[in-house]
Amino acid sequence: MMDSLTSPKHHQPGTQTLLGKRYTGGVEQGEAALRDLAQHPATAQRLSWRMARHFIADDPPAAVVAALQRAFLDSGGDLSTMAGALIDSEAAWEGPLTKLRRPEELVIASMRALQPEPARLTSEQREALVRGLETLGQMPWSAPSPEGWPDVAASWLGGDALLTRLQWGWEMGRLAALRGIDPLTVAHDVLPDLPSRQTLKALKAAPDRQTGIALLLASPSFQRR
Amino acid sequence: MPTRRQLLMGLSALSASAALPRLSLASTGSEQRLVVIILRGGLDGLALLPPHGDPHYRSARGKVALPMPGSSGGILDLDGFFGLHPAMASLLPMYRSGELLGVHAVGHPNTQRSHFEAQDMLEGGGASARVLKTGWLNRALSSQPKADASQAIAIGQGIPLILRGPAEVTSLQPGGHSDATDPFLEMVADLYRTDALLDEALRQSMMTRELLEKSGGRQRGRKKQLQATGQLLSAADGPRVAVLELGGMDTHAGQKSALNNRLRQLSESLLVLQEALGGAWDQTAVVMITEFGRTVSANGTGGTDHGTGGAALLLGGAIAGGRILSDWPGLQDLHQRRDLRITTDLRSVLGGVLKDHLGITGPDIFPGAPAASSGLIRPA
Repeated sequence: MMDSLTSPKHHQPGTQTLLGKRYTGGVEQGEAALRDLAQHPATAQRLSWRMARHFIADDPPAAVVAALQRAFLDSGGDLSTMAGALIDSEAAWEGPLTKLRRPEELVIASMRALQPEPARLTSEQREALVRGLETLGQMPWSAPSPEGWPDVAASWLGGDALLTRLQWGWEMGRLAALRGIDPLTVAHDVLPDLPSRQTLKALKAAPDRQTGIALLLASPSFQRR
Repeated sequence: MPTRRQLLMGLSALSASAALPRLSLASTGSEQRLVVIILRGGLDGLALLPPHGDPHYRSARGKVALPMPGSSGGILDLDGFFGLHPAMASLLPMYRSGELLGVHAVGHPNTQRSHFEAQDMLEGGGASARVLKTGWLNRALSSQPKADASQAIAIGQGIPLILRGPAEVTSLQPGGHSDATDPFLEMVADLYRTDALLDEALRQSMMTRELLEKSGGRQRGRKKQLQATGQLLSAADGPRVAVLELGGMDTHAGQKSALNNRLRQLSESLLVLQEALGGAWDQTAVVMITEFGRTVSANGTGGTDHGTGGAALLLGGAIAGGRILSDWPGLQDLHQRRDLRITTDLRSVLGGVLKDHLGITGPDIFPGAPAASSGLIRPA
């Protein structure tokens, strides 16, 4: 179901050829072309790969990409069917967490771990949230191009980006420590399956709460999803 | 002499720029000054004030035993039994002039070997962790009608538990916040060692940021902060109570070199404070405490682990010093076969300072604690 407008002033009249197929008409011309593009095998390939890369791994398993591609084509290009196939795919759930959290994901996950009730965010926390998105380079609605945000770890770890993440986590640790949040409690109650044994050991050795919380946020398993 | 406002603005700018010791200030309504230095991490009391006269010192401490008095880099003898860590040689004159007092085998009887819980007890002053939501120093100040709580200022990092409570402490929050500390980043580097992606990214980050230069600036910053603290406390209309927090005492590995550095820096800082206090030094008591001592014997990485009994230092013109006080339990009969026993409740020591130095007593300050010690403060 598509709504579109034609602007006769800007529309080049006549038959157009796209990917070897001829299209005629006004609005119908554009709609027919888009429909064909949407169901093109190359589109299926690209979208299934992008979805798998976004949710599973920078280099997604071929089996999952294939399953998504099939779902896309079989459903005539329906994205929700493809998403369903992702959830149904066993290969999608196996394996270690390897996707690096992008800044938005990191900021939100950190907030959720430290302040489960969004309505109770203090103004300091709200500022920290925005500052996180700003300094880590993912302010909402400011993606660099129609491609959207980069989706591989290397794009988010260039320069001194990791230090900026750690610095932000340090500040979050300060705010949470002031509220008496205990990092071990967060690790056990809020994120039970997440921290590795090594991380838990480090948390226990942390000299103060701020360091403990900052360590939890910095830990390899929290930086990933 | 800069104005109080200039000093405060300078202090907050400093706090914003480097991971400085946290500093909080308050007023007592009298001329007596109190500085509480909280050493976070659990400083090894047996390294701070080594009991070289104990026959079991060398065998019990093994790899972390310091050389005997008289040898190169050896313990500085104080009273024939206890000594001072060699890196703190610059404090010897203070001891000889009776302005430095050590208390040993002290601690909180219910101490847990967890930093969070132990620090809660150290600052809260309660019977166990998380019982009291306020700090003993705030409760002490709140009980004073003349104490001006609106003069209490916390700079940079929010207010530590020791100063939290009914008396309102103003917080001077600079625009920024302090940098992640080196100890924290070292712990992160450790966590990342087995993670190729993050390990490499961290390396790259550090190079980009040129952290080494920054840590040089941090040292200068710490001294400046202590200088400003001393100046503020000596000002006629200034605060009378300061709380300083220092870290880096959690020496699980490489204790010898770590403490050589830390304790030397600490002594230098204390001397800067003394100088900045000027004439006010005579009316000052500095109390240096930590949340627990450490294991008597060394671990496998040349360090020590969390322990129980520890040591504390009192310094200042107001202190009746020149001695080490302890009901020495010895190094053979250890608590749980690993730690120095606690024979004096640290809260009695703190209570004694509050009572004899600031004239503050009360059942709410250290509820359930034994009586305040006496004789720690020079008679007026």
